Amino acid sequence: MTVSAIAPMTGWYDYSEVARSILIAIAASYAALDLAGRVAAASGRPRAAWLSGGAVAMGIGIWAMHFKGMLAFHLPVPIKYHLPTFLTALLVAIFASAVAMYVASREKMGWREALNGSVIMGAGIAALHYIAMAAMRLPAITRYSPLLVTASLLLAVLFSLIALLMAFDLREETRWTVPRRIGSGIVMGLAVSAMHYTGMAAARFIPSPPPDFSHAVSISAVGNNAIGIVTLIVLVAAMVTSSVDRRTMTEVERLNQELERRVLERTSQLTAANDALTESEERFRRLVEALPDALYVHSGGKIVFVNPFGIRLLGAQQPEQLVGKDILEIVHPDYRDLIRQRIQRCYETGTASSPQECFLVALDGSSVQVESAGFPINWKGLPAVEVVARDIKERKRAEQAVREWQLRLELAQRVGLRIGLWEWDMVADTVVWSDETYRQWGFSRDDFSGRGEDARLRIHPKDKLLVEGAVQTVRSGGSEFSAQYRVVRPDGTMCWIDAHGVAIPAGSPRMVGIGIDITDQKKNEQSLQEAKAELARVSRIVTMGELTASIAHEINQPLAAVAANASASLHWLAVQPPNLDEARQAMTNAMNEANRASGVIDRLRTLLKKVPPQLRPVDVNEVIRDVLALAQGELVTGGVTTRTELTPDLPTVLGDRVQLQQVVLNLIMNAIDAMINIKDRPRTLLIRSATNAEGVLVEVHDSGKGLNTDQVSRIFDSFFTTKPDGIGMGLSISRSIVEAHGGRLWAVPGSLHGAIFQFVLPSADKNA
Amino acid sequence: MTEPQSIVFVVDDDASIRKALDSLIRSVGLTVQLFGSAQEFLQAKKPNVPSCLILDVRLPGISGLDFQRKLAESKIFIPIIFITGHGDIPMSVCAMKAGAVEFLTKPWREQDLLDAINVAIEGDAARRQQEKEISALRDRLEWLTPREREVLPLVVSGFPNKQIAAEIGTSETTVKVHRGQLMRKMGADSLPDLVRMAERLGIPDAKP
Repeated sequence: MTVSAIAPMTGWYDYSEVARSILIAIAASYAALDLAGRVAAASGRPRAAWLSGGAVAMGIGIWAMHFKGMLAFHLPVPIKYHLPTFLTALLVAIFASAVAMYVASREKMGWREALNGSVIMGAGIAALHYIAMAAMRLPAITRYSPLLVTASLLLAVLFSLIALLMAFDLREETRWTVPRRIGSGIVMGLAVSAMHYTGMAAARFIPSPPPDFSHAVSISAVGNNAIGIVTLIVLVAAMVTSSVDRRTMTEVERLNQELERRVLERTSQLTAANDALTESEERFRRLVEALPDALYVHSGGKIVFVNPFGIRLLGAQQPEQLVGKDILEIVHPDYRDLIRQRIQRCYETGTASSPQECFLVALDGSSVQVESAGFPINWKGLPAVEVVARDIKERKRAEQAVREWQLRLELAQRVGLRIGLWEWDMVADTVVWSDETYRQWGFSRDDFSGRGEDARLRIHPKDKLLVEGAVQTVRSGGSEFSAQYRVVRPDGTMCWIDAHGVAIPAGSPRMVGIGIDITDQKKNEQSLQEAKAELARVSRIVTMGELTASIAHEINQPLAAVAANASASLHWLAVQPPNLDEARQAMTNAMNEANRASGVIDRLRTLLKKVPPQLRPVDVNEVIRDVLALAQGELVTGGVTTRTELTPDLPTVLGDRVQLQQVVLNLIMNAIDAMINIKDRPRTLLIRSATNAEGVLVEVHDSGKGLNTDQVSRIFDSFFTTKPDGIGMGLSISRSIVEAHGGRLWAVPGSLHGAIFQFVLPSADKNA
Repeated sequence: MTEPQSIVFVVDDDASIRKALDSLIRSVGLTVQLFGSAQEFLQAKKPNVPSCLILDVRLPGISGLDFQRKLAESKIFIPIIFITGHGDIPMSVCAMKAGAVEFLTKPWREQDLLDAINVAIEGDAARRQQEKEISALRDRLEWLTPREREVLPLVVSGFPNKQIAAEIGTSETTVKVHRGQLMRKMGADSLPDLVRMAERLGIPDAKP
């Protein structure tokens, strides 16, 4: 290089200016970073405004920094500046800043954008620098060191890249943004300055003739400072604007967030309300569907809605089968007028109609009894009536059942089962009675207060405790009341009542029940004892009936003798001369026979007499002999040989002579019957009496057909008989007589054949 | 002891009845003989005079009705008057069918008994008379030849001689001879007389 032959001029720096230039670079960098954030945050026209404003501010900042840096360089020659070039440099700076800002404010920044941006920006800055250098007018030729120029270019691009990355990273407003931005601004400012001063270092000023100074100006110290100040003002203005905007933005953002929060809140409220509404609607729908009553909505006379039960009630499967029909079409013809009026009234008055029993017509034509009520409603904006119809078939059936039960009860009462009904409030002590209960207690509906205490006065004194006990059972938690008691009516008559009640669990303590008039039954029980005695007597008579032949014989025999003797006597007196001896003899005979006859009759009469049993000392042997005398004829007829083995001096027993005679007679008659068909052996009757440990023992042996095991166990049962024409009462009555005397009666098979009936009676001294 | 004209037997197990009957029957002049049981009666020797039996239906060991049957079987044709303590219709029917004279229920009316006794004794006397006549007739019947006995039923049945001859294969004249012998031997005065005799002998009508 030829120029190198000439020594370059030596320049120096005014270091305070350098510091100022660096300060401007840092301020510009900070502003750039700050504004890049603003650009990124804005969009549309504001974005363009921010972008251009930022680019101008930053461009001016960079330009001013260069300018300051150049002014800080002093050469031994005066330096002037070509103004148009200088201004061009400013435009380039602004352009480069705009590119940088654009790139940094993009939503995304890939490596490609970053590199392109940094190359353009770096190139711009470099261009600014060298254009600005070119604006220098001084008496020297500027020579550039290619190495340093290249280095300055690379630095410009590198620093641009770093700046872009920093700016991109810092555009979001976060907590640490400002300190980091300050740090970044410092780094960037230093970087820009470094590039500048590197570029400056690349220049060598070779002294030469003065150049054309046209359009060139000299920058005075005042101008120099003014540029710095103006630049700072621009930058500060930009930063303040940015800050204000940022604050506004933050406020807007806060408001936005607040708004958003409120919107969210409101939305969730609305959603919840909506859900609740949906849920409620769902619940209502399910209710309507599950309703055990039929629901029909009709509007303008047509059915518009029907619930599932309403569908089933009329025998339909689908709502479509009913919806659209005339409402009166499903009403039984007999009720159509009535229902029409009711619907009319419903519409007119706007009030619900009262429940009404009527019949609907199912699809198959059958009638359905319901109880229905209508409610005026709005259906899709139109007046409608909602009809609730309840199937009352079951209720009707229950009512029918109650009526039928009542009929049964009445029937039961008509046929003589006297069942009274009652209900008793145990707290208020009030009763409700049926007619029969009134009759049982001897009250009439007019003269009874309805108070339990008034009724209880009529309970027989002897039964009061019993009734109170039964009531107490219920009061202390029992569920059933049961008592048999007497009620004494004012007229002195008595009514036996068999009362049963149940406590009603619900509500206040209450009982319902029935009272059965068992007076007759009780009377029967009372007369049973009398009947038993009467039965015994009748049984005796029956036995006597069997004895008729014998008895007639017993009586007729002496009577015949009396008559014959009397006749004979008359004849003896009639002969001439009267045979007085014979006559006397005959009369004596007649008298004896008459006595004999009366003896027989006496015995019979005691046996048949209706006298209550009397306990007297009785000689059992005497009883046996009396009975044998009575049965003598029967024994003879039956071909029975009678033998007695009566132990003398038996202890007396305390008993009823007649009843004991009945027992012996019964055993003897049975013995005769048992032997009636015996042909192959003697018919013998043996009667023995003896004393044993229990008292007096009597045995009746026969040689008859005997008893088998089954018979032994049953012969004492009532109505058991082995005789073709027997009634089966004799032994049963005999046993009860013996047992009533404190004794026992039993049968054992005879040793060879026949049977032995035995009974023991406690002796009188033992009894005493 | 001379034989009485008639005799009344009494069989009754009741002594007082026997005693009463004894007195009663004797008081009307009849002879009476008493027995306590059927057995005693059967074993006793009875004079062959018209008699009757007063019998109690109910006797120890054997009933009156059975005893009645037993007497009939033994060809003892004594008229029986039954007395009973209590009569019943089947029993009396049974007794009357078997030939009882009377069935009296105790206490009987005195006259009924005495009437019955009279009837019975008269009956017995008549029976004895008849028995005597029949045995006389039987003796005469014994005298007839076999041919005459053959002819007898035909004659009493009213057949003419000619038909009888044809029946037995002989001549009318022979029949006339038989007939004459027959009448003579039997001691019959006329044909109706002969017919009565045949009836009493129990000769049945002949059937041609």
